[in-house]
Amino acid sequence: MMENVLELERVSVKFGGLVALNEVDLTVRRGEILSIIGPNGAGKTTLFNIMTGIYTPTSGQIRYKNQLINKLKPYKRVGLGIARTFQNTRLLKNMTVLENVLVAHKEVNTEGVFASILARSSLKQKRQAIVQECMEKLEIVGLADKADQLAGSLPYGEQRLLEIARALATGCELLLLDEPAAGMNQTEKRELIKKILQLSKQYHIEVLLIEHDIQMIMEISDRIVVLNYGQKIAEGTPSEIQNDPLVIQAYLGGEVEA
Amino acid sequence: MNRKLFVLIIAALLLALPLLLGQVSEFWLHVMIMIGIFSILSMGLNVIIGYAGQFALGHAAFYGIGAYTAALLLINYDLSFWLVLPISAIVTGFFGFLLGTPVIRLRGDYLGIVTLGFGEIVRLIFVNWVDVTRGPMGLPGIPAPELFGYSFSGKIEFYYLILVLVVITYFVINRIVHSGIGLNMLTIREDERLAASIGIRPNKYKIMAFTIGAFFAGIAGAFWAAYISYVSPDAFRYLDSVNILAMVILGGSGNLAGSILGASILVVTPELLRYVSEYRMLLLGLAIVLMMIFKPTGFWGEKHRKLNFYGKVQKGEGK
Ligand SMILES: Nc1ncnc2c1ncn2[C@@H]1O[C@H](COP(=O)(O)OP(=O)(O)OP(=O)(O)O)[C@@H](O)[C@H]1O
Ligand SMILES: [Mg+2]
Repeated sequence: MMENVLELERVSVKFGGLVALNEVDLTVRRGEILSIIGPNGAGKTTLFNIMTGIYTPTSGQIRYKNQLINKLKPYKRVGLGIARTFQNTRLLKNMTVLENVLVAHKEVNTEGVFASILARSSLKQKRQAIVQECMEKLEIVGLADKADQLAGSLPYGEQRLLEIARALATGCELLLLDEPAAGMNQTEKRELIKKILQLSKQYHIEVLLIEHDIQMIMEISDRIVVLNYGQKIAEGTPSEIQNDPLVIQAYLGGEVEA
Repeated sequence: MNRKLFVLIIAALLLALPLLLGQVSEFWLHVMIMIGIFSILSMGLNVIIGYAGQFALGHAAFYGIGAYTAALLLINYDLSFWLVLPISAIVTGFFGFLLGTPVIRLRGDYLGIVTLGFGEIVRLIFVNWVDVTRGPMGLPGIPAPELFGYSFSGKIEFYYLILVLVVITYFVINRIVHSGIGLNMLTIREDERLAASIGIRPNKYKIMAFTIGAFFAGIAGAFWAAYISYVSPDAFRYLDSVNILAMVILGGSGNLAGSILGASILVVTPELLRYVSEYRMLLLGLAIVLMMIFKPTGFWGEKHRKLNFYGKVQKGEGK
């Protein structure tokens, strides 16, 4: 009975005098799409950074599947099944689209020196299978036909999709998406929404989503958490959030008619 | 395929070269051997700098450790060269591992300075540990390798030996960099935080790069000791480290063929410029600066990469 996949308990992060996160409690439940919203500088990306181990919290506890992971190195958390995309895309621009996905595959990251020197047929078969799997991830985000292009030559929206494919290649169970729709036009956003829903419903990946596009958030989220100045000010279903006076005051302003 | 033909012609030329050169001059045969030694050194350093992106400046120290290990074993223990060669490589590789472990936390300039310091310390040990190394006097009388009862007596034998070693080095390193390992190293070079965020353990691959680079420097060192039959601290100064670094950069970091090209250029040019010896370093320095400005990827940089990291031929792109 593991209802909660990820649990944050009174997590704080301080950068010098600046409190980026202030005693935040948060849970990601099995099977859900949870969105994090909040104004610029609210601490959303910082939240991802402590979940993935880029920063360790100043205080508080992070548990993933009931395991305390506060001090775990980033690469170990990937091994446990947490993967992310970056707000400012981080791709290997001079490498091909396929290679950008390959680097994240577990089997690629465990190849041994002697095995790679000998390159026996068993290894070649294994590599074939890895390439196949990575092509499938590209298929999911719709970039399979661009596998041999350089990542840097892709338009901005596709670079974000490539980041998602790369995260999937780690074999993740919890996917953290940091503003995946930024720089996308309306049609691309619609496609993205479909893909995120597919990942959730078909592949059973828990999705944590940071977005500024309110319409998209309302449409896609099972639940929403609102951050403001590092503090969680609200949490609930889209309709609850839409009607929350605190949220309307702090963030939504007059943009959404409640 | 044209490429195969090209490789065949080069191979035939390299094999026949001593017969042509041997008549003309022993000197150019020596130059070819030096190119071979520095090709191995620069290919090894390329793994550290070009692939793993670790700006290490003390490669001559590994070269020296390999040479001294081989010299001491050959002189004191009467072991066969064919046994000493791999032992020296392994010992040197171990030193690469030892150096790599503490310094991988450092970045950029700091790493450069610390590895430079490491190189100087190693040289000072060669100079000052007189009981073992005989200090500045060096170790003379290193026995020549023997094969099937014949002792290596001329440059031709050494030429063929280094040719074989260069080919093996190229083959092995090429396999390593075109594997998941190479792919991971490149990722670390480009963006270490990203690497960690997709499950790569940066420290493991950085240490691995140091170990591999040092291992091959050990081979070059052991060969050098047997070839010259004398080792002294003079051959392993920091200038030699800088020279190897220049070969990697000039040829194109992240490309093995480039390292061989860089080694060839930087071994041959000083010989050609011998008559203007005072300006030699100046001209080389100028050439490298110009290179950095106008062609920072080197003569033969990564742009010419034809293979996918899994050895598959890349389609279309890059034309
Ligand atoms: N490494 C750091 N050092 C110092 N301050 C930081 C660091 N990272 C983030 N901050 C600060 O913490 C606060 C929260 O930043 P964060 O990036 O989490 O905001 P965000 O909600 O993702 O904003 P945006 O919508 O602009 O992406 C900001 O004030 C930011 O300047
Ligand atoms: Mg952010």
